[in-house]
Amino acid sequence: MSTAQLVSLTLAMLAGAVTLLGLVIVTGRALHRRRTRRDARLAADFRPLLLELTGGDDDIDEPLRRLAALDRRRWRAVEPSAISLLTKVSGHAHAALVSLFAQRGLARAALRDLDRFGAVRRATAAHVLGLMGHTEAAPALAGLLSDRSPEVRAVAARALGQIGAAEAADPLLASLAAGGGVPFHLVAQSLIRLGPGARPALAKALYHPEAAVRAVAAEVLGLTGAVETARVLIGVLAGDPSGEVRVRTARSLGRLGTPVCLEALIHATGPAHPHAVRVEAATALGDLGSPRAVPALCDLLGDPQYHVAHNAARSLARLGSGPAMAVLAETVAERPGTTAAGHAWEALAVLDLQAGQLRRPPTAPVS
Amino acid sequence: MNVLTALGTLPGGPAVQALPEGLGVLASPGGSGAVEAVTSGVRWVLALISAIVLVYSVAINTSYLVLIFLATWDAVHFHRRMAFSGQEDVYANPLTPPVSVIMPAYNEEAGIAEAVRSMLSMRYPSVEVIVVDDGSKDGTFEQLRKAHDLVEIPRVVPDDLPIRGTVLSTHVPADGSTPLLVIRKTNSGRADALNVGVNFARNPLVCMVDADSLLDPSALLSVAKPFADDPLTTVATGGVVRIVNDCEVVGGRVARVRMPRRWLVRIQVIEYLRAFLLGRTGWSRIGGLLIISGAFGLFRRDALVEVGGLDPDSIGEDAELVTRLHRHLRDRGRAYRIVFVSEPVSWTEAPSTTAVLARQRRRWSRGLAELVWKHRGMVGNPRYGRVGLLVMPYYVLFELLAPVVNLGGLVLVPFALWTGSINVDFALALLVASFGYAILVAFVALAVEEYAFRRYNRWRDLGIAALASVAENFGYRQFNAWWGLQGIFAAVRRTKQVWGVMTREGFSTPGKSTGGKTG
Repeated sequence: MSTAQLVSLTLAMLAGAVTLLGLVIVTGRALHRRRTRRDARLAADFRPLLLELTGGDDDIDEPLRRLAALDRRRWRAVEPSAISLLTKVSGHAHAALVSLFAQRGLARAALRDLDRFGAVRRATAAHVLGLMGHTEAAPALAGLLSDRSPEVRAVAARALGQIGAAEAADPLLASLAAGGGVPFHLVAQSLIRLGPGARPALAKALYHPEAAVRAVAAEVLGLTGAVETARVLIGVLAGDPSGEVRVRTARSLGRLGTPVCLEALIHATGPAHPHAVRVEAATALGDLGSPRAVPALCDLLGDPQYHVAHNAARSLARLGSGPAMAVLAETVAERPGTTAAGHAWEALAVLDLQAGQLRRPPTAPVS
Repeated sequence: MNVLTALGTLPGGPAVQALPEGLGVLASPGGSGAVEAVTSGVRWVLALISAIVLVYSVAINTSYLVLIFLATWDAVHFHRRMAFSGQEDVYANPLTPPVSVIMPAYNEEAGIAEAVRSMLSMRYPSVEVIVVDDGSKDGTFEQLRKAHDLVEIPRVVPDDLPIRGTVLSTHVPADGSTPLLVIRKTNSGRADALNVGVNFARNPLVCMVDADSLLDPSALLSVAKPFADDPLTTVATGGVVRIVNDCEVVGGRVARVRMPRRWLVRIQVIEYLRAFLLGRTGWSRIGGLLIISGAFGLFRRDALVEVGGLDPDSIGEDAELVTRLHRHLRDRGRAYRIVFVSEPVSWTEAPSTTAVLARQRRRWSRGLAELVWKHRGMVGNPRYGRVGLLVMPYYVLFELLAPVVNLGGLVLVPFALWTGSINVDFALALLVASFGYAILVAFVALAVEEYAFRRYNRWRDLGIAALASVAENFGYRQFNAWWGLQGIFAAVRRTKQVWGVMTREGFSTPGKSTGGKTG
């Protein structure tokens, strides 16, 4: 083939490809618009029935019967609205929608779809089963935590939390281990939803070899107020090899708010600990709310690391008690020109602003 | 392609007979003597350059196509998982990390108050906004003081990152609860202003945004999601920057997306779509994202402090920072992720005049040249994995050198045709490879946009986008290459770095205009 022929052929192919792409774009947009308009029209026709079903009326038989009897085409248009409603309602409205989904055979179909080849199909099925709180699906969903698709794994983790079966705690924690690839925050949220039943598994997970597992366990124990695990968490704060885990543990100990955490948190503000742990411990002492933290926080006001001193001042302000306020005021008065006085003054000034008045700046400039 | 075969057989003598038909002049029977030898040599060089330009054009467009296909994978995923993506989970999750938004501002009086108000109303569970007034000479601070009832609260100046400017004062809203901090400092440039903001930031994540950017309400949620998903290894995420010119803006939000009125900006829309949306998504997919736009990026604060913050001496400080993060983390053998998120959107005003566009492109090109020189040890270095072996060489070959090859081709190929070093068929092949292929790539990008994002809803906008995809190749590309070349020369000569004045026209708001400004 000569160069001229090759050029002509390439040119023709490029022109053809550009034209084809143009047609694909235009046709795709036209079809999408048509489908959107049609679905919106159909969904609008049946929205009153959905609202009637979830509106709190005692008699839901009629809307339930009519919605359950919709043909496939109409239901396809209504289904997204129904699923969207399911994420927003609770109580009777939720139960009514679950009943509708059950009558339309959605739970059965979703259970079947959990094994389908397509990832979107599996993820959608897990999503629906989670929203319905379908308890029987929990073992199958736990299996999906090791699915080859990251989306499916994520949706399965969320669904297990929505279902709330405590036995899902172990597989959820295991899914965070290396190669699991399930989103950290979804696992944490699901573990929170599982409630106190998950605590034994969480306490055990504090000794897991994976830092991510220990980190999520420490966070969730703090967020769910598991005060009985405070001593175990204190051990983690003192000896965990991961800085990230110790930061989260310090935060959790502050949230737990039990006096037993005080000494461990004060110790964690010491200079031997990493900067991030010290900063978090200084904040956690404020969360803890114990006036016994005041002397330690007072010492930290003069810390050379800005964020340690700054958070200590904020913690003193949050304690709000007489001794804490006195320490801040004394620091301003007795150590003028020091960074400690600067941090203390700022903390007091913010309190004053919140109370509707502005404190006068310190006499000596802060360096 | 037979040109490739020819390249391997060029060294003269009988081998020239093996050249493709397009380069046939080289094989013509020549005269004798020195003049004939020189003429033949020149023709040979011109033919070789033409062949290189042809191969380069095919390679660069193919690389765009590959990146777009990689991005398409993400776009398809995004589209299909929308129904169960659970963005609400990030909002409701107590583990979602708090964010400090840092807005450096220099002479931004026209829109700063609205920009801050818009930022404070972002849909995100915990956010503080830090405005760093970098020695503005206009009423930037006054606008903020009036709008947010600021009072001065002297603060200890943190020193996690070294700074050049001097902090003059710090201010917070008088209500004591609005999470806003305004820092006034002497002028020392954008990078230094950002470092000051990072120092004052209280939260573990810092988001760098331009004071004139508009963010979609849920942009922070989306760009923070990778941190929530994988908080131990994600160190930075970047979001898409789109062009806001002539879009309808209401209350600091883009209410209606429209194609700009001017062709210069319309072409930039196509350019942003191809290079900044799909290109960066493609790089992110293979773990090679090198540029996070300064207009919208989210970083782990501790990682920024660890690498020493932004380099105030770099004119392309955003890309330099990401490159340094790659280098630092790879040097220490740490697992990390730098992710581009294709859906959250920051809207920014693109240059609408040739003079401003020229300044911007010179700056970009110079920034890239300086970045490559500073981190030259990474180029082709297996220690840096894909970034060293693939991304950095790509940026050298197809970003930095593109102006040189494009302009070289523009000048030398017609000359080669005139001297008979190449024939018309070969010149046509060059045109097809350079322009035809580029138009095809632009149409593929348009198709992906249409399938996955559908930001431009009007049929008219679609037609304009198609025409702009064609028009980009005639004039715009060539001027772009010229400005790029000037940027490279400026880097080589190490002339004084100048950001230049970005004349802005303000946003189009029904019933009123936010006014223009310079900054």
